Amino acid sequence: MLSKFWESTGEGIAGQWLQYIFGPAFLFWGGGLIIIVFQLGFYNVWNWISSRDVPTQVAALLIGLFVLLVSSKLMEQLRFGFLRLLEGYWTWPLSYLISPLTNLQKWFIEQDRKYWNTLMDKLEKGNLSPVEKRELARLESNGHYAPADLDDCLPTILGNVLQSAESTPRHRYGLDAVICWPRLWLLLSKEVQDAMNSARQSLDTLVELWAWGLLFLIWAFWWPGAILIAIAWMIVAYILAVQSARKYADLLESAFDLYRWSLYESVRWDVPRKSGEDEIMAGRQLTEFLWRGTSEFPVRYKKDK
Amino acid sequence: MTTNLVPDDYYRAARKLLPEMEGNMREIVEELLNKAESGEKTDNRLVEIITEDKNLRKKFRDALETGQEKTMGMEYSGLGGNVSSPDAQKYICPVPGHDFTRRIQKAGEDPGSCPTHNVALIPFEQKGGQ
Repeated sequence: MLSKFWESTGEGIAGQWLQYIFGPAFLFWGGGLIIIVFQLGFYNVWNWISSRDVPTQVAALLIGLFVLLVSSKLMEQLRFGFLRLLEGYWTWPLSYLISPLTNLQKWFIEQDRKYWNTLMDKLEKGNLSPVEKRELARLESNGHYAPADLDDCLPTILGNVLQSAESTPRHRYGLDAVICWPRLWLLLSKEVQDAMNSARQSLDTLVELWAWGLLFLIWAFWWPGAILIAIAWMIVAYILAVQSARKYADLLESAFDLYRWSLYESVRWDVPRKSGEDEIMAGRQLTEFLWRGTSEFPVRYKKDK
Repeated sequence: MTTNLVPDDYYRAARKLLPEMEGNMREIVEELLNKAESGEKTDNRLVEIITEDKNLRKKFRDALETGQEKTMGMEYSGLGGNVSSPDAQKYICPVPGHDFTRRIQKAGEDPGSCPTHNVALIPFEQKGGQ
């Protein structure tokens, strides 16, 4: 009886394996295989395979699958490091590039803000052309995903999108996102957690895709054209990762906008009654309390209702 | 994207099927669900009992899949339209007679200073109140 039931569960597990097998790693190994096969000569390889007995062919297939799965799993462990790399948290020798690239990002953001101000003046006067209206929408969106404080800027666009989301709760509510997030996460409903997980998973997959694109450069030893493919691959993966990071940033910001009250309630603190400076002060105190376990004055906890 | 089933998914599906269960089975399942609510893990026993009935087995699987689809459907995607430009906080040069203004796009942004007088800009309302 149970075996029939587990068939459907088995289908789910098979789906996960399929994700591994036909994930970004498949593109890397598949692409590399095609390059090597054509370098060695398609018919030479085909004849070699055909001349093997069936157990050898099956063993080769299983070894191939094993390599695919192990490399996928390994990349899963490395993706956080690659995400940090794409964000712009660099160590030597890339650290030399941090300052000039960050200044370049700041310059672009400043230019966008100046132009946005010009267009907002025109909007106020009511003489905005349709083209300018579209331009204003683009600048509005770009500005939203850029760090408010230019000192928070990172050297990459992806880094700035995520930095913007992480610094927004601090500027709006005095809450440090990195410190408060693990606590807030535990208070979110399963549906909200699922939506966040899904957005994060999507970003992680694209970061993995970018990393596999970087590794694709290895095949340039066999065929120099692989360099062009790898560069195009990394550019596309990066653009998609930025879009995905924006979605994740939207959800992260929204989680703080909507659920920050539950943070105060769960630690039995009074909920701020006024927005602006009052809330920012309360948020800073709560952040200090959550991170250091200290507060300027002892806090009187609210009684459980 | 397929997600793993957790005990709560089984409890949810079993609860959904309660009205369709025969008297004895219903009592047992209700008791197991009550135990689950009090923290005891009863999902395996629930699966065993419900899947003994051929009709309920299929409905149980469907209920679990519906639960999964619900989770999968939670994926967020932004709206396709352009963002509008709501009112933005305005800052002005504090020097009397000079009206250089600048808006900020979001909280935490430095409004900067007046390029003519090199003094920090102040909130627009503040100058009006002076």
